[in-house]
Amino acid sequence: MTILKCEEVELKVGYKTLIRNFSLELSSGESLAVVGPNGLGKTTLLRTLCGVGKPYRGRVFLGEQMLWPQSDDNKPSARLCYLASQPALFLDHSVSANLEFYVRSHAMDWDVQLGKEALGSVGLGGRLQQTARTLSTGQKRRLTLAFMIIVKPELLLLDEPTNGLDTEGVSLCLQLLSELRRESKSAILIATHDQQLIDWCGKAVDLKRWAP
Amino acid sequence: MKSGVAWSKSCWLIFEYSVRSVFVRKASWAGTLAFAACLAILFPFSFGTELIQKAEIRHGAFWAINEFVVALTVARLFTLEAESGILEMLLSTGVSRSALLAGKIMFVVLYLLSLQIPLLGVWIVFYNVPNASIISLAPIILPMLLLFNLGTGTIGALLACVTARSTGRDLLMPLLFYPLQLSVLLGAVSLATYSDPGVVMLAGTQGSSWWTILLGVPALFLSVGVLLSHALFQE
Repeated sequence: MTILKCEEVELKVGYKTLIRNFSLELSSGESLAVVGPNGLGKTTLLRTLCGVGKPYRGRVFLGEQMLWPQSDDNKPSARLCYLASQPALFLDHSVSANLEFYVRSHAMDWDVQLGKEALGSVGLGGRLQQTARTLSTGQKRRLTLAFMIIVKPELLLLDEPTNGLDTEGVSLCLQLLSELRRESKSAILIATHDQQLIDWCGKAVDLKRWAP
Repeated sequence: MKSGVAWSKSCWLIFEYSVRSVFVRKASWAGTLAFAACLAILFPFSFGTELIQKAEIRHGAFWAINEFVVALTVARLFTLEAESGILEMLLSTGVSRSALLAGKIMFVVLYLLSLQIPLLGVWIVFYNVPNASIISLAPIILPMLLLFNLGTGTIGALLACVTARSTGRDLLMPLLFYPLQLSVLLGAVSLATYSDPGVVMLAGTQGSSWWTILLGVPALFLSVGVLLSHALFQE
């Protein structure tokens, strides 16, 4: 089943065209790495695909739903998960409050036990009440991995997900992604420079092909 | 029905986390209150001490101090979410943009009220408000504060959405906000003055016109906000 489809997408930042006529189709259980030099539009592409940014031209579909051009109800599916390169967290709130917010914002009910298990599986089991500000960069990234475990999204858009992770963290990330791809049939699109992630995806598109 | 429940849940989530953020960062609330209280105490001295006794300035002073509180609150309404990346994350989820706006409006109304109630105490003490005035003002000042907050919060939240991801936010907010909010401020000041038996007013506009403005402004801007909620957060 096709989860994500882009047709002839053109992205601009200001007056500068980043990519032109970009087309892509991603089915459930499939993973794809988006590569390319810095500043070519990988993050802009991901932000557009999740409905935050706006393409200059082209069409984007999430499943049956047309995201761009805007339809009457163009808000993205609740089962889409976008993790930016910098973890989006309420820094003054606790680890568990952040996880709860993320889960509830994806239209799911908060289950404390499930939250504890997810945090335990990313190595943050003993840090439920710790303030997010006091976590290291790698631990913040691990917290975002816990989001994915609970939400089990149909489409996962990840921007440099291994940034700040140690070797063990990278292995954990790959293990989680493999589980999501295999068990939840999540479609996974990753913008990355990490060769390990590119190899894990099995397929990669280089945005240079669509640069003007 | 199902989408209505989801909308309400999203709205409540935004409201709840905005309130929780105030609790975990109490300094921001306390700082605003301290700033407003200092203003309330210092403001009359700009007129000379003999004028403190005069009823004519006390209502204006109260609402002028409220304006400072409003300015500090509204200007950073989406700052936390925008700077932490939470806003971007929310826009990528199923959270309705109108629910996001409504949640923030609910928060502003409550947040402003939580500052105005202690400020009212400071005002009564430092502006020599007589007992008769407090009794006659009490039933009218609370609905008035609620409507003032709703009008101000609606305009403020709407503009804060538009400017949340703009680099010109600090310049745009006051330029757009104050002209739009002026009618709400005028309505609140006039009604408070009319309701005070200690103030002798010359013939003027009837109180009902100001109530209409206080009711109409939030209704108008709330409708605009809901109808344009998709465009409001768009880059």
